[in-house]
Amino acid sequence: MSSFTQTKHDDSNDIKKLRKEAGMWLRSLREKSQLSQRQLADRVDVEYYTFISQIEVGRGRVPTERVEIWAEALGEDVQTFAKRLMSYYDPTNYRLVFPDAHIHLSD
Amino acid sequence: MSVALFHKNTDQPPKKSWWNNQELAEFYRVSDIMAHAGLKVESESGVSDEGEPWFAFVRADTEEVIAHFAKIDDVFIAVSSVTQDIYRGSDVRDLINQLLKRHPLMTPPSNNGRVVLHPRMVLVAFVAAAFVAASEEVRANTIDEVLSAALSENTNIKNIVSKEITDTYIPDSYLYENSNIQKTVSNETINFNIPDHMEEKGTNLTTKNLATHASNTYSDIEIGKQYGNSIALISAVILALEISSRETALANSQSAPLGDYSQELQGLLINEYFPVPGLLETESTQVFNSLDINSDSSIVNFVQSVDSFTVKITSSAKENTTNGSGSSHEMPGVKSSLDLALYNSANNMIGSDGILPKAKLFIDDNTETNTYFFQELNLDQINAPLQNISIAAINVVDLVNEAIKNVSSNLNETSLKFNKIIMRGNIESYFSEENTTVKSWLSLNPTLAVQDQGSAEPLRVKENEPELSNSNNSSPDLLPTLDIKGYLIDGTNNQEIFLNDSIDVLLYEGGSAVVTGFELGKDRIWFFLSDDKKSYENYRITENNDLILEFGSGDILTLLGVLESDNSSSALL
Repeated sequence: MSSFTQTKHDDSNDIKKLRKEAGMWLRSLREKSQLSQRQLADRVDVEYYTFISQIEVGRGRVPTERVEIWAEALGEDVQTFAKRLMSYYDPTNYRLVFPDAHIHLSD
Repeated sequence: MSVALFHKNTDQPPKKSWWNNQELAEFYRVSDIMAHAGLKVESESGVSDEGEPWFAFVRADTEEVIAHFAKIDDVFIAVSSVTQDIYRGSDVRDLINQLLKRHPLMTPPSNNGRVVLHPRMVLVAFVAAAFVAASEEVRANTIDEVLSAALSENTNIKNIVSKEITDTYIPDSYLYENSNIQKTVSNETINFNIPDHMEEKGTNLTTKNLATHASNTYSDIEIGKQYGNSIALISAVILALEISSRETALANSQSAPLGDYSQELQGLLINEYFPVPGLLETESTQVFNSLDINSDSSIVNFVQSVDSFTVKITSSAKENTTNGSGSSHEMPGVKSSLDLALYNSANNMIGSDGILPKAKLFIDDNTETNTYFFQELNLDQINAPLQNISIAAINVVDLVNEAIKNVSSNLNETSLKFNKIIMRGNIESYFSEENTTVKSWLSLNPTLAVQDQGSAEPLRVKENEPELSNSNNSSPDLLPTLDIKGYLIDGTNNQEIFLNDSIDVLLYEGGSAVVTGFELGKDRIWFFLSDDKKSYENYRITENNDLILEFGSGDILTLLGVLESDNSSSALL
């Protein structure tokens, strides 16, 4: 693990890496909640549960307007969940908003 | 030719199902066409925790998923990831039908003045629309709205911007006088309507530029809500149409006058062979492209791939010898004539990648029996120049259709339908029978026996020959009882050949010949041509519907009444 030090996050590789880490994190939350992808899809009101699989492999993102329902579905605190997601999906603004925050990104 | 990378996740649970070849071909088609259009997309595929497959297209510039396909509970779904519009079908074809039902203007041409989109392009349009819809200016709208807006007339759209046709051709079938997209063939300019504020008089925009223009410079939100999707989707659809015009024209030609399409026929018919046009470079002339020597069983296979057409020549070695050049496999007792053709073809096999084969066929002139050898080559020999002989297998349907455009005025109501013929054959032990120089058979057992044309007996067909144990050429397009006959045209002038109801294969080495009963779409011609001939220099269809092939050597191959048989008609109608 390393602290978040990158300054340029619009690079495609960085985005892919962060999305992939977000997916792994979301998968871990789902598995901790003992939910199948289909069950989680039902809870977050997604009609095609393969979307969950897609998100978990790091393609796409949890829609901004759906963050709250995702947090609730996974039994997570909404603010903490949103903050963590922001670190993956919008790292530049995350660093501006939370200059002292460190997020956990694998090397 | 573009290259599309398809990612598949390996860290996935066991698959309950996966995409079939047709579905993957559709995805490749989408990706390839999008890439040609400058809409760079990536893809990702995987399986759910229940083992059900999904496939996503991702905008490479933003990493945003634009379209998601999946098989869930045996239902094929397509989702515009931006708008979350979901389409469902039992399979990809059914899904396309659903799209067509929801957007009836995307149906084939009915002379109603609408822009039309061939079903094979619907998926492309769907993803292209999703791509464009992902732009900030239009993302608030649904795919339904975007498609409807793009494919219907909009009386508020007034102005016209000219667009230069670059390197592709938009068939007339898509562009009717009453639609909001028009084409003027004479000056090679197409016109399509865009809103007032989009007008750029005197500016030539490529379609790609227009798409960019529509999505990136469109700033008037209110007007954008009214027109933005229409412009963007028109652009997207045109992209798909433009790039795939040859393919779509082929299908639409089934219901349109031949004359409208005569310019497109040549490329279209070749493309029909391939599931994903654009991913493959196609040529009408093919060469043997692989040679496989199984040292254990002394089996030599020549494999020719002409689309799905495969020929194998298999011989059991009688003796194995070794010299400084490598191992030799003797094959005694080979007859002349067609063996020469095989000799020629074997020695001129060039892989599709330009790599020379690793073995050659030699004739031992010191023996009275003209013993033939397959001899593996050392590296120096592999790099040696090839002999000046070539082999070509030419699809006669392509040839005739190419010729038809010269007489299209005589076929006013005729339209084209490519009747694909798949032949797979194996030629084995061609030296083993007394009067037979080549024997081949289909995987479903009909056997072809070709004799020297000088023989009084017509060429023989044997059935129910044992199938090769290593044959994997089962062909659903062939019936087990299919009758195939081969005819050798070996350079003797003025040969006259009468074909029958079999699938007839003309093996043409040279000379003049008149062939009666050649059925277009069923019968085949293989050309075994020396370097000085290479190919026909001229061809034409006469008033009597004869196809005339004229070679540089002065030889003429005439196929009498090639357009008159029932099969030929069905191939052309």
